[in-house]
Amino acid sequence: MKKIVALLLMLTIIISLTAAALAATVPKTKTETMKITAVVPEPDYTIHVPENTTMTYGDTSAAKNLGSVQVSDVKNLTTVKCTVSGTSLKNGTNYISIKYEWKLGSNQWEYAWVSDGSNKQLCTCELYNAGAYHVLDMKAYVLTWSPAVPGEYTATLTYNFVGE
Amino acid sequence: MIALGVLAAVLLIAAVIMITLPKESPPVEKLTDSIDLPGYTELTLKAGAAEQGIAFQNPEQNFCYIQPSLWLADGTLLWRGQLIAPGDVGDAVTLIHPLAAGEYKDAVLRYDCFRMDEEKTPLNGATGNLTLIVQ
Repeated sequence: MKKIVALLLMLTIIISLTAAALAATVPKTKTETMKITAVVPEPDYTIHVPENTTMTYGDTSAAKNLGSVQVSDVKNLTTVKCTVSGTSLKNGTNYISIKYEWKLGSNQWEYAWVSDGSNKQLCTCELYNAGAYHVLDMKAYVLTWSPAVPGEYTATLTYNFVGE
Repeated sequence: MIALGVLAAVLLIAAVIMITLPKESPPVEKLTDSIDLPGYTELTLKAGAAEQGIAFQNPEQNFCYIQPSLWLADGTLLWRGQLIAPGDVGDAVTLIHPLAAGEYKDAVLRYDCFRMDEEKTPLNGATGNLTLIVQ
């Protein structure tokens, strides 16, 4: 008789404590309905671009590393190309020439000067081709800061991507 | 016997809690000197409608705001979104100029990026060419 009572007691404890635990951990069902207003489309690839670079006035000692441009997670595409354009440093109508350098993967460094305020196309590189990923490294340096007038100078790099 | 029963109950509850508690995802490592942006080769839009029912997300690993905008090949601005914080999804795309059905090649999805400071300092951005399939 004692064994039966003990078994029944054990069963009761298990059932009641399990129910309590479930009630405490399972989220309550909300009765209000949620309206989904927007869907985020699945990207075909992910772009990685450098954030920004500050050049110190007067520094002509070395090329400034601008960072790397690359793509990842490419889905169902043969190639992803990136076209890079850049401007000189400019403040209103005052310009300071910049030499941009770039290298795709293990290729040789290439370069171009940008002297006026125009947005000059520097290169078009395949960052992805048939399963192979390549990194585009970018550098820049200023040969001479004179005759710059004081002020804040900004250069802009534009990265345009095309997947096919 | 009773002690065994209580022990079994405790073990069962622990197992139930382990199963039902939501799993915590590992923290995302933040980028410090680069920006991640989603790239597209095509987007499907609704013909003749402003509300498109799609939105863009700023990847969680970013440290900056992103602001997407959508342009036609001729430079017509179709839509410019608000600043989106890392991990957030922006407002649904609402076109300034609803489009007729058809394919619009060489449209541009542009991302402007800004530091999350008071001045919202502009950072490098990127553009991607894509085809708008309007149906």
